[in-house]
Amino acid sequence: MAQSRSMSLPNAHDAVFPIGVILILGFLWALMAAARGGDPTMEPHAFMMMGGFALGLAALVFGVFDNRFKFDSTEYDDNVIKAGVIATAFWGMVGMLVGLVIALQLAFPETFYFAELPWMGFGRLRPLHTSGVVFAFGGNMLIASSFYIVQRTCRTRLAGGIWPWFVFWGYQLFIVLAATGYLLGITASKEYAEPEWYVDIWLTIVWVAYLGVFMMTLVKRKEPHIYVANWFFLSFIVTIAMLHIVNNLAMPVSLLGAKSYSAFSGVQDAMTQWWYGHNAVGFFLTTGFLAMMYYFIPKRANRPIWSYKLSIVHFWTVIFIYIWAGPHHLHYTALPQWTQTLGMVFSVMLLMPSWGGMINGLMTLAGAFDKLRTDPVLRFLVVSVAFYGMATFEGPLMSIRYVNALSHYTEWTVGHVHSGALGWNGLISFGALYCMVPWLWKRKDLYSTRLVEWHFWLATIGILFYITAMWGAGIGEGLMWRKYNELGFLEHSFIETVEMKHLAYIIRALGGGLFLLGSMLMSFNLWMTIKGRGNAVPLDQVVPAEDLPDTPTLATV
Amino acid sequence: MEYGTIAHWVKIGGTVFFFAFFMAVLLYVFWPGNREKFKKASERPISDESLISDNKNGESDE
Repeated sequence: MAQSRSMSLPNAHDAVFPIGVILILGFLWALMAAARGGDPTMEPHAFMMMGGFALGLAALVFGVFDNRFKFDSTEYDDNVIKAGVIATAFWGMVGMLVGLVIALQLAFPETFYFAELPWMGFGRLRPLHTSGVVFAFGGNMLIASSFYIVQRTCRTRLAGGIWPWFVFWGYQLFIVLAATGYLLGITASKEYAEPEWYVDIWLTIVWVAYLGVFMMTLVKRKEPHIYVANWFFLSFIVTIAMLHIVNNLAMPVSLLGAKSYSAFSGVQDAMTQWWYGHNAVGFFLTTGFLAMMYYFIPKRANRPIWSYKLSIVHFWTVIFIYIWAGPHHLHYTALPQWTQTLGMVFSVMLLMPSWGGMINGLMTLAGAFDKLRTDPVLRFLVVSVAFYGMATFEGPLMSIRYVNALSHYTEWTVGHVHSGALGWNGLISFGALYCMVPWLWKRKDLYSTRLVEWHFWLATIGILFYITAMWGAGIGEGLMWRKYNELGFLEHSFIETVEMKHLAYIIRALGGGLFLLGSMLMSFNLWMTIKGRGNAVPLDQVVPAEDLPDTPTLATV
Repeated sequence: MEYGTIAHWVKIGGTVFFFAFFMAVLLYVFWPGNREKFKKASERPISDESLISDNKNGESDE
């Protein structure tokens, strides 16, 4: 095989041609759209795409002539992960800030309503917040950690030469196009799938490249068995590709305009949308992040996985059950009753694999629980798993039709989502970032462990404020909506239920503010670690044995 | 074929398929020959200290 050739310094020029073709075609299409696009919303987007593709081409040409595209296949490809880590921290702050803004708009509508700024309207900022935290923050975290973990557990360098960089920058372009599109008023009006058709096509290209890089890295692994975290990542990448393509099937109005119409209509459209929507939670926010759990918790605690057998059962049951749970979003709708029941039953069953995974993560600490007192980074990872357990208990509960009758369309749903998103996805990402930055930049430790402690408590208290406020508001308004008086009339007008929620909205904004503050502390801490300040002594300097870190490090010292 | 007939067989087929698949997973998990492999795999995250280059010593990569 070509193995022996790759041991010398191969060039990565194989990838230059296909990437160049993609960028040139993209540039030409954007040029035409900018020149004769039918609608004014497309114009700024077309110029943005031209800029993005031109920059990509310039980087490609510069790389070839400057002979930058060569690498040592005996080293891990860490630079693209470093870029991903920085992007994750940055987009996290942006997404959470927008979340705080819309929380304040709900709490103080007179103060935060700007009639003369249409892009500051709640309807445009809300998808910016959800996509910002899920796809920009979470997505960058997933790409960076999957590249990190697949190399370490397969003991091989990332495949594809400069393709990983194409994935990274292509994904950033997707984020910028999606985000600016929402602000301009471009939307496909599908929740969590708001980008229009041309942005969807671009994401598909980037995602196929991502799948290719990941698969080819697995193929050239030097360990016979594929470690379980990689299975979780692979299911995430494959399923997201499937969901994204099917749910976004649409017919553009013109080949150079922004608007398109979905291929589905009516209840089929609703079912496809929530098949997509719930599995975005299942495969983007669950299996991908479970992969992080199965790597970073054992690594940080320096313990083997509690039960590898359980992790395999966990994997197959979670992916086979999750995919059916979507119809619980459509209780009491035009969706056939049996389909609703099917979604409900699978959602309830989902409790078992979820808790199996949670137990596996927590029990990995068996014999090392004392580390939770001294290592706030490990605490982030472990508390995230506890939140995962809580959210995956609450989810099946809310999917039951009669519970859903109370909870649907109320703030309870918002609280549930955020206990999962902030508690599980947020905290495990923070823990993983605190792990990866010193390991990637080869630093003895983080700049400041006390700042990590501050971050941990700010984030945890922020989440508690957030979810308790939303439970109160949600169950409260749910009960008020269904209250009849003795004459059979509704007891409360709608505006009374909104008034009732005012205090809860303020507490929620406070909780979100604390969470944002914590992630700003983290970004500062990570930045100072990268710069090698404080405790973050570069490991290539001579370090006495007693100063070596207690926590594992990848640097050879 | 009627919708009802198709639905009937798809339901039975789905049930049988899921059950058989689950049994196959359990069989794989508890197969005695896999015990050593899984034990080694459970230690993979904490045994990945060495860089790729360490593997170059000794026999070739093939």
